[in-house]
Amino acid sequence: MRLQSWPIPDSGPEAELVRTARRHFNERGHFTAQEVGTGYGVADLVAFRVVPSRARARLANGQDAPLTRVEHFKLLLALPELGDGGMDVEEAADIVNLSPGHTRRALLNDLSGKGYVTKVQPGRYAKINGFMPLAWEVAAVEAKVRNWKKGAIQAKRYRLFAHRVYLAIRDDFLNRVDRELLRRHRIGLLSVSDNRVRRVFGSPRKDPRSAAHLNLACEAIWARGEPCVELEQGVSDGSS
Amino acid sequence: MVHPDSPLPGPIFVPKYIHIDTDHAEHFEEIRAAMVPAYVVAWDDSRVDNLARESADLLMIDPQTNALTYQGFLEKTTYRQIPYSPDDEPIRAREMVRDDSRTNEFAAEVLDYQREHGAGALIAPYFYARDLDDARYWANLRMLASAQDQVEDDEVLYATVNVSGSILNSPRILDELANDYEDLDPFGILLMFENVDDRDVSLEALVGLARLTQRLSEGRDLFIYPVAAFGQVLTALGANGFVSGVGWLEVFRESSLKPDRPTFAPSTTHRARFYYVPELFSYVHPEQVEEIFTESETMQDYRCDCEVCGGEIPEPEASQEKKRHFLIRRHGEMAVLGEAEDPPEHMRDRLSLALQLAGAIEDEALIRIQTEHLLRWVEVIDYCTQGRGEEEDADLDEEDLEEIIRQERRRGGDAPSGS
Repeated sequence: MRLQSWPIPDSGPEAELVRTARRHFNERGHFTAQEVGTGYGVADLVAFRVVPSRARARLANGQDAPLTRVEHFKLLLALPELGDGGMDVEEAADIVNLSPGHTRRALLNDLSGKGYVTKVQPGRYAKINGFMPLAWEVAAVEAKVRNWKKGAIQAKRYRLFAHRVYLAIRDDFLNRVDRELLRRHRIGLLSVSDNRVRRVFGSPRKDPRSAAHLNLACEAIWARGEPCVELEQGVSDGSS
Repeated sequence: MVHPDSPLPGPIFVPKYIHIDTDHAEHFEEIRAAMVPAYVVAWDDSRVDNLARESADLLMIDPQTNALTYQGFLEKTTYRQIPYSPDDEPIRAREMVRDDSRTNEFAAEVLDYQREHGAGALIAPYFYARDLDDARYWANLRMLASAQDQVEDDEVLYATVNVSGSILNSPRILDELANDYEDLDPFGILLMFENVDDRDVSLEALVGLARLTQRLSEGRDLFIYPVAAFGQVLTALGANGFVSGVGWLEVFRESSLKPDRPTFAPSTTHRARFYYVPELFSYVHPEQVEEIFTESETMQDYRCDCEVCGGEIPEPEASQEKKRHFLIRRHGEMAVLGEAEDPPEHMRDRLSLALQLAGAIEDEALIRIQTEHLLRWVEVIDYCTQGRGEEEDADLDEEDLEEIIRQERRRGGDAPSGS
């Protein structure tokens, strides 16, 4: 599965909801990206708590090209560090459930070219410079004007890669929402009116189901060419 | 229904093995029939077709002559290795319509190839036709007639009706097609309609397919090839069974015959990673499986205990295990259908259960399983069994089923498509 980049809708009531929600998260120090897909639904909005030091480290290591396949991260999570003997291609292929040839050509060679991996012996690869996700927390938002149930179903999917998931719904349809159902499934609720977002209740933080998908989602920061003014200025968000 | 001398009385699911399916062909012994495409036989004579022969009572070889009227096959080495494929140019259907000697020669080559590789039932050459005015449709009838003249008394010959799915919406055209094939009266027929995805196609098209199945299966073998779970409904309505790939390759598309045919987009989840849940008639996205079977209390009772799953939830990446699971469960579905006293009612009951389970999954796990097509399948069964006696009992109250259908419709038609 690849990081998906879908056209961002620029008109319509739902697009307006998303814009308002995006401003809300931006104002609170998040990096944001719209229409982020990792192979299981496409989130209207994803908000990242970026770790500037990690981003600067990747830039310093020349690792600024986005990785766009979840298989990249499955390998990076499994490959040993340089000095630990490396992993052979067959074992790597088993991890990503692809043929050894494809694993070597399309994944390992790509990771090598982008500065994440090196060949330690013929057919054996290891990680270099380590890898850490760019964000310490990811929140995903599904925005709906009125169809709260559909929005909730979609929001729940984003637990695959997000620590917190939200349904954002227009304020005048808020009363239709089954809040107990959302709470039961740990989906937060945002009420959106003209230029304003109110957090009705939050989404408890929980580790995403897939570390590889979390890392893939974070690449949306690189892939969209988001300006990194805060990174350049060395702004810290207070996290490690 | 079915030919009185059928070598494959139903209900039967016939897996279509391609080159990546050798493990599955080895694993399943003593299945009644298997299908292997001609390109696989040409590519590696000793592998899949040998395995299919050893593990299946009867081997069928799809001659894939429908590919030979397109430029696409010229790009594929395996197709070029099939002895009856042309060297330089696609076949022109008008040759087959105008030149009897060419037709006879071609039919002979196609049948001989199947015989040489151990096919237990022969398939006449066929082309894909967009409608009944397409020259390829008339060529099909000529090639079928020629093939019928060339089979021995103890050989079984199937015709393949390979036409656009759009004609399923026209009762008049279907009637003409049925008349044409009834006139030739082949031992059996494979129905191969283009672009018929049983989850998406209209009710009218499904009814057209079902009615055609009922009609053409009178005293004749009939298989639908390929089709997904709706094949079970068609089997209940009179077909011997149906053919498809191992958990995929369930829709025929003309685009697959053309040059630069589309492949799976790398951004999408490969179908092989989906998990077949027979109680839902659905392939479940790998990321949904664990949630469904852990968060839905209702679905706890439906964890699969086949020899592959053993009551456990499969890993998202376990594609080969999921394929084996699919084969076990699919064969099991057909075996149970074979024991049903009233096959259409049996399928109706199963569809009702699927609708109930989908509702429970949404309520309990907040996962929406697409079900609109299941409602259409229920309507197809009702339509095709109209006029049945009042004395026939249903396992479910009519009122109960109607209420379930009303509830499902109230859930709305805005369910996400696909996975």
